[in-house]
Amino acid sequence: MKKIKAILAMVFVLVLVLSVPAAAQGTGKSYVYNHNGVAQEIPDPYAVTATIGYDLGMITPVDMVVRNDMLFILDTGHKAEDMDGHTTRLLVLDKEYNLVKTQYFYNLDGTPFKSFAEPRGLWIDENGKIYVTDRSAHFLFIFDDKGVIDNSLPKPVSPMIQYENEAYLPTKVLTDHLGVIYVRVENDYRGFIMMEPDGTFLGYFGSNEVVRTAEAIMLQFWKRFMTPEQLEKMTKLLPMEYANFCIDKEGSFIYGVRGTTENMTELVRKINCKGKNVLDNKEQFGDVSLTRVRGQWLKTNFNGITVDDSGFITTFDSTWQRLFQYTPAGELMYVFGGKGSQEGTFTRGADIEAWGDQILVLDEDYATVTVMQPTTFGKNVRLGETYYSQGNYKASLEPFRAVVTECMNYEFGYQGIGKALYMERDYEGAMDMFYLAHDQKDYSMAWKMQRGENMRNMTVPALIVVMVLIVAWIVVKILKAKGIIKEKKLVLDESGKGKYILHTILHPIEGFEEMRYNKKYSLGIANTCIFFFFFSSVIMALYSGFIFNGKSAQTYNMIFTIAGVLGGFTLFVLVNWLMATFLDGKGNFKEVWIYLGYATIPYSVTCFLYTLLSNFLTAEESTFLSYLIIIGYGWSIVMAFFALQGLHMYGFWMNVLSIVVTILGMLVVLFIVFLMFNLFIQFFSFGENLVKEIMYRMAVGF
Amino acid sequence: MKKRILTVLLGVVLLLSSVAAVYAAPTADTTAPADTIVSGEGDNQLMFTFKEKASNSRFSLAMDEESTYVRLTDKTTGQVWYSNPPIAPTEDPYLQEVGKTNIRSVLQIIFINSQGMKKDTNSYVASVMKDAYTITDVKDGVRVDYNFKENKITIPVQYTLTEDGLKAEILYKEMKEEGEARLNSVEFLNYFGAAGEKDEGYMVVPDGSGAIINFNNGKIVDSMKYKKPFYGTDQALVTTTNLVTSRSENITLPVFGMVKNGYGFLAEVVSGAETATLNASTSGNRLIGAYNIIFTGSDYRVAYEVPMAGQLTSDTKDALFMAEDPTSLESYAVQYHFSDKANTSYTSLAGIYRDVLTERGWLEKDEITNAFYAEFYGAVTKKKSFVGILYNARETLTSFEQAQAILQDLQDGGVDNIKAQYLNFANDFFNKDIEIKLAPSGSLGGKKGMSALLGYADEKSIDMAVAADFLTIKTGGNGYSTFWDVADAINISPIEVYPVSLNGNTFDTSKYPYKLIDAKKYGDAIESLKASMNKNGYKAYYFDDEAVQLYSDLAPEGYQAERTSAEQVKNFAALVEAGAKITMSNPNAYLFSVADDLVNIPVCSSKEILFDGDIPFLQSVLRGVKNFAGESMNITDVSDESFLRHIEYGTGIRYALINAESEALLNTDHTFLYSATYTNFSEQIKERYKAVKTYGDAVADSTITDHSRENGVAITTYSNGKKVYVNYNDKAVTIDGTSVDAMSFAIV
Repeated sequence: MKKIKAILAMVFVLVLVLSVPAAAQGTGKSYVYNHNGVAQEIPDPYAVTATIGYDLGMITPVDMVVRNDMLFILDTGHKAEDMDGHTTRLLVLDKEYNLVKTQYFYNLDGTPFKSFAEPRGLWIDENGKIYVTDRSAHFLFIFDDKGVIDNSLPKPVSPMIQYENEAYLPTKVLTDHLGVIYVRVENDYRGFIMMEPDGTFLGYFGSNEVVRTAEAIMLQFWKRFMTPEQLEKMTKLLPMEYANFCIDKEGSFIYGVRGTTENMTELVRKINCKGKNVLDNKEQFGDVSLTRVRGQWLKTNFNGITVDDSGFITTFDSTWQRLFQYTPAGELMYVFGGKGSQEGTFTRGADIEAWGDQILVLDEDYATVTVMQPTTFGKNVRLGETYYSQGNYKASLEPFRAVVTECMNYEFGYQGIGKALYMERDYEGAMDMFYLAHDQKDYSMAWKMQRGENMRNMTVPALIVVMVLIVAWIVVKILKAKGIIKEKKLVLDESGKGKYILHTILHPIEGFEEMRYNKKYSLGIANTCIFFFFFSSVIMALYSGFIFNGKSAQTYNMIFTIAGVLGGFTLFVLVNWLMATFLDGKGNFKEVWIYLGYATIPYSVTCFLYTLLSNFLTAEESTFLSYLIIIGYGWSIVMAFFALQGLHMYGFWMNVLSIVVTILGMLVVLFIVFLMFNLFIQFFSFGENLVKEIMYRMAVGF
Repeated sequence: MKKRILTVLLGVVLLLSSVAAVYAAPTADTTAPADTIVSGEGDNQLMFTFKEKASNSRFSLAMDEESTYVRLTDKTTGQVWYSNPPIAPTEDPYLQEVGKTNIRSVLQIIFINSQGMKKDTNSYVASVMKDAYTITDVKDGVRVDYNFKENKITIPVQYTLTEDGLKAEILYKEMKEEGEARLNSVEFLNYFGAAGEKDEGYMVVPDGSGAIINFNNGKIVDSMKYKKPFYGTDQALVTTTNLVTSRSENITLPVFGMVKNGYGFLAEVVSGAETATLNASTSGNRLIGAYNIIFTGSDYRVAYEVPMAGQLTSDTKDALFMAEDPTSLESYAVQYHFSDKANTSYTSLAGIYRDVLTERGWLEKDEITNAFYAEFYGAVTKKKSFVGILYNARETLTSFEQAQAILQDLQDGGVDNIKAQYLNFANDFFNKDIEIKLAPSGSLGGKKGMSALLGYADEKSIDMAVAADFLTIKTGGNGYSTFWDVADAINISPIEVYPVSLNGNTFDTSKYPYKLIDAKKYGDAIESLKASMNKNGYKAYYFDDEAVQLYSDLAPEGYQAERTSAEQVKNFAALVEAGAKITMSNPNAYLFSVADDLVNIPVCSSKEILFDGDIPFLQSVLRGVKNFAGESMNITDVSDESFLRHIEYGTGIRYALINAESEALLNTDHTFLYSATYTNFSEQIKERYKAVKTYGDAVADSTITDHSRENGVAITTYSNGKKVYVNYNDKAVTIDGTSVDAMSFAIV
């Protein structure tokens, strides 16, 4: 801990010298999730620099595209009589957000293009061609760069597209470097439709696999038993559709985003040219642990995605009007934005675009485009991440350090420093950082390297020690042989009870049976064993290595151990003894207590060993620990079994029966205790309500 | 002969003087506005005939008895102000259906009918159109009783002329509800002073530091309309559906203003601001028409929908809870003060309000000190474990001795004028008791350490205010119970205030809530505080945001907001009487008279989309008569830009200070203090204080008379002639011959 103190101090001083100013506070609240899935407030990563659109007279802007250093906004919903027969137009703005051109759409003969019904998606390709998807007209319209209609592509024809009667609802479109057109169609779970520039159907892109949740598997199982009629009625298990997509600058990946699915790790997909999702995310995308309001789950519902030149993925959540930014590998960096009528909050975000390092948000309701720029905090996070992914580990340290100075809770920042230190071979430093970031996996990796180093450093001293010990042993042996050292027998215990413990551990069956006759049991020893039973559990919970025990010592509450371990033990002894009366067992309470006390020894030893070893092993060696636990605990259970058998003088099957009965008895006792506890609470609550009601009536008058 | 010459001379003189009289007519435009106005064509034509009802030396009040429109003529400036634009709604290019009757109404009401449903209507449709109203002449004014016939509600409205304007009120005391319908809320004079599309100017909203809304700014979307209650959020009325989840500033002044074509008015809600909301909207909306309007609404009777516990689907309707008793106010009154100068600006409107408050006694000219404000945090609760046993430890952040050392260091560094507030120091705070006993925590130095600190502060003329709070309570104790002594929300359950969860936009029920003390029971708390003063030697108290909030108690016989505010003023005054100096965190205007120092004064607004810029309105009211400072810079924004903003707005600087290093804060709920370690900022504070001192010496106790900001340069003018230029650009600029460096300021 002192080390961490020193590091933090150094970090802080270092950064203060570089005087990083804190970010100005925006109006939304920015946050990020920590390892427990709890939202932590962080400084705003983006700040609003401008809100444009008030003087553009937009009615319902639905989509926007950045192309060739210009911003194109598709503005729909105008009355034809107000705009010379046009209902839709394209606004073109430059880098300073000044309007440079208003593009209208025309037929070949120059008359206004009137076939728009519900234009929803916009795309401008590298040659300046304008693509507009119209959901209600069921067409993809392609215009040349002068706005004259070039082609109207309807629903592609192909045997792959079943459900001929289903309406074609194209809402978003983009093209790749080869000119292949991708269309996002509403309610089509099969992926994006791929077409040639002339409309020839090429196939589906980015098809999703059906998610194999437990429910799906169960359903498959039950399907075997259903009649054909029932099968028809059953809801088809279909993967969720994409809500929106975007393509990166190089055209190597198409990023698709889904609204909401059962499997939240699949909300964002980075699809390569083979149609495979390269994001391998263990963490879920979107918000975690949101509650219900009026019976509705207010989960994340992404409807926009964009990727900037550095590869950072930003998505827009329509439920809470927030933006989520992820690293190119899909790790969450921060969440910002919000719902509201203030600068930096939104009502109906329709699309987001990245322009340089700016993020633009198009609000359909307000008819505005909000321009946001990274603050110092946001800049540093991105800079650190970019340097790291380029392999420039040393350079990434400075921005990450600045980040954690500005925000002490930012686990992502510590992780970044840790990873950089790891690559710089400062494993101890890396471990400290990973500890702060609660990153067990990386901590384990760093520990592995550090351990290797430690062992290498210790080889020589260790060898020396071993040599010395061997020499000493030889010397002692020689001296004994020569009679210089007398053998002294150490008599620890007269009664031999102590020695007997070992006998019971190694030979449980006979050991316990004999103990009854020899009376070589002692309450004192048993109590000592039980004390260690309890003590070792505490030690294991508190001091196990970080890699295996993520819960910090701060949240550990001894009450649970007392209740669980000691309480459980006592209850078992009690019930077993009670059961013994009518199962004809021969042991009394004290004896059961003592015998079972002896049985706890392997468990205690295991706990100590586990604690010790867990501080030395890495995550990959966890199987070793698992075996240790199984053997150790298992041995205790075996001992306990034979202890009871020997004590009560049961036969084998009788013993099994008695244990089952004991467990049932314990459950009954627990149930009764629980019931009484509940009753008590109810009674208390009733009393409270009664008093409140009386008070209210007294004040108001009967 | 002589007689004739004399008569002729006399006649010539008379002739000349009468000619002179005609030509020497006052230069102000006194051509009275047309008394009859016709608007619209054919069936839609409307004719307004204004009859004078009252007049004084400056104003003339007239009314058109057909429509009950009121017209106020300002004889000094020639400006005319209407309660509703005298036009036919059909002439308006935007108005649709309900907007067409709203524009003809003086009142827009929401009432609850016999089935328990909220319904709305307005005075034109329900009363004027049906000829169900009576006009009575009153002294200096006129009164109209609107009879909402169908709902059997009668609402009397009265206009009276004052020296500098008009007082418009709804006489709640004489309201009648003769049927089953119950009045919920009423919007009053929505269109008073409405500015049209050809008018130039802006509306002033005291949101945070203040903001302006330019006329006709094109922000016409319905959801952009501004609507916010005065005096912050009343926790008794907060439900999961109306929770504010973004960062928002409060309206602490019960005023609004308008500057139209160079003239303007400042309106104050003199009675009923505690239960009123401020509304503003610009032209072009189909419900409002081609007008920019700013007005208030008053809650007569609390009634709102509460989601039922255990509500399973969104189809189940919320339950409508309605308070039996209406407000205890006698009337809801808005007083309009009209500026008599051309070139009115928001600073002159602020000056008008300052004069109003000074006359009323809410503001007195205090001695202006331009001090540095420091916020010390004593300790924070941290969960520690001792061999597995969890306990709550008090992690020391700044002990009394350390605070003294910091103060000494500051003084040695040139910060000679310091006002300090000490938070998180009393046993009450750590035990979650109501903070009125204030025994200093032993872990920080105990009573002895506190005495030493107070002695030191006294010696060095440093104000040391200790944090107290008699409004909120977490657990019972100190003579108060969380069951009997707390205020209730509408469902007769105690108000529980939870923090808002960041991602869920609802209450974060994992955190400990606080409850609010019944206003009737403040008295005992004050006695406790007085006793604590004697026992511990405290000379000054600090009340943070939670400790000065306004709330209602909706239990039967509970004090609603308007009586709570009166009780608060009374009790704080008792404390002042006992000799305590009081520092408050951004208090509402009615508490100005009992606060010696104000902190956490915002230097920006809530930045609503409707706003077109932030202005130092609050500062313009307070500067020169009250000592005030902003929010702790190292917690909110410590950048140079923020510092310059404080200089531009004439607001003192404040820092949060702790002695401990930031890792003491790990795993506590005070992580916002991670950048409060004194050593990291001591140089910056000393540097900045030098600038503050220069500023303070130059402007002393003068008031702000003008302010402007353009192209990154702000100019604030003071009544003693000094001007402060602030340059936010990254290049030096020259203003009126004075050169100002980039990101710097100059005083001329």
